[in-house]
Amino acid sequence: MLTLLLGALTLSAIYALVGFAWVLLRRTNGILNLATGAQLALGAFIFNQFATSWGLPWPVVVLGSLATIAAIGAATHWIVFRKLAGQPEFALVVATLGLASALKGVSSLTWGTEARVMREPVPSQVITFGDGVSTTFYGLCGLGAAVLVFAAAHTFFRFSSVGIRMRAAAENPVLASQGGVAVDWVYVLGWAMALTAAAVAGIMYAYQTALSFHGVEALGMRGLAPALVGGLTSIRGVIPGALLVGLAETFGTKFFGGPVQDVAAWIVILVVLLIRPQGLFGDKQVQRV
Amino acid sequence: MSGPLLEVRSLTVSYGGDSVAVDGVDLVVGEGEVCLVLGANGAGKTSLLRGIGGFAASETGRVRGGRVRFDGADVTGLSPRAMAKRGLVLVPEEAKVFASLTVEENLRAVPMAGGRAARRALVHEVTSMFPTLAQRMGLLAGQLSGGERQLLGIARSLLLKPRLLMVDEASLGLSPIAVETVFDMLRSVVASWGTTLLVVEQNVRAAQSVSDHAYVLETGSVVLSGPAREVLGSERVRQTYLGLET
Repeated sequence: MLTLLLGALTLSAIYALVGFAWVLLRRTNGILNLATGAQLALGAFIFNQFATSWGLPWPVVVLGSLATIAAIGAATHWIVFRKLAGQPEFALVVATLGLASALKGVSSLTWGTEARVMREPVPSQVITFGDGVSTTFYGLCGLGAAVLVFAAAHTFFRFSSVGIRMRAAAENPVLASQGGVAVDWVYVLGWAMALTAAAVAGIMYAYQTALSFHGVEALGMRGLAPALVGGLTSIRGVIPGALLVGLAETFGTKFFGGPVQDVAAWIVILVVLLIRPQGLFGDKQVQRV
Repeated sequence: MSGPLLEVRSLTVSYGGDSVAVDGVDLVVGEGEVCLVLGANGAGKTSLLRGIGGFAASETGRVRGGRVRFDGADVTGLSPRAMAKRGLVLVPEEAKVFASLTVEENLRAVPMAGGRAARRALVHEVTSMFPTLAQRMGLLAGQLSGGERQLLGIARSLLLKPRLLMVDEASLGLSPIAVETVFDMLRSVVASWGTTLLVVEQNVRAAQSVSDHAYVLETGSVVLSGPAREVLGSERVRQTYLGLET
């Protein structure tokens, strides 16, 4: 049972990273990004290109691939979404759908459709704690990555001037612009950070399963569930959302079989939408009237 | 510079379609002056300020004609950020603060020029002008009173070291005491910073004590302009805005 709980926790860490990518972009750029799944997969394939295909040293793999992914995120705003400023939300959502199809096509043309095994920095191994409680090394890596990303995000948005400006622009971009904030660069940074977080999730997931566009993309779409639990705008709300989805998926699979893996997150999405469409942990807006 | 600080010629502003909010307005503000724009609801006062200060790409408002010159340069149609960087700063009528950020974060959200020490000195100078805000640094801006929000909006704009500060309806929704506090602060800004002011108001009584020049706007056009004493003493203004019989 404890092994199962630990498995749910490591899966929740991946979902937390995916949910973070959804929420960050929704919060800073106001976009419900339906290309999140495709971007997760793209990030993992770019990492694999650096690590496996080119066989570069690990520091170069990590820094090079994440920098490339961040640059692609920045270019996404500058080339596509900057032109759509002021358009209704459905136009932006449709644009993200188009982007997802384009990324899938590029991935298929560049890397094919076969599942791949990524080069590992250390051999995959099972780690056992005390009384038979075990998990994988890469499961723990995913957990560590999630803790690191959330701690860094909290520090960045709470204490840095750039982070505070991003929060200001998210609340009122026109007022931010009138106050001298370069709102376009805030959006560029939002895309770069969201894609980087998504890529980390994709890479960690691929190390725990296998690298296939379909598998990683599906994870990205299921990652909407923890974001929705958090009200789509609360970064802190993603954490309980991810735990909920991780537990539902792990125990659902255990008791009802493999197919539950694909539907557990969608059941959570439906239940949340039916009970509380604004999410369970949306940020409280305090306004004196 | 020998000409006026702000020169607006034949400015026309619309919000898509044929709807014209500002129709061929001429307006001149000299350096160090306080200029008042009067007008009833829907007269085009806010649109005039937005047309001068620039629209963001996401907004539907656009300058459809005319010219805006600031400090001798043509700045027509520049973005609000580009205007702010040039020293032309707007304190908008509504949503002048970030409600979900604390007072301190509202101030930190302003990208100030200069090095770390200069920025710190500027924040200290501005917060010392606003003792009420200095006591509420950790409070969410959304929890401030209307007057305090107005002061925070002005404090934020001062961190950009404006040469021309445009204040839209500073007295709107405020108690008489709060209005007095806000206009005292504006007088203090003019006196100690030498900032030029362009103030849009419906509250003539509050604004008349600070103004050098005045314009009266009706349905998007200027119908009266001149020295504030003459304009505010005119029969039209006394009847329409002060409710006084001549």
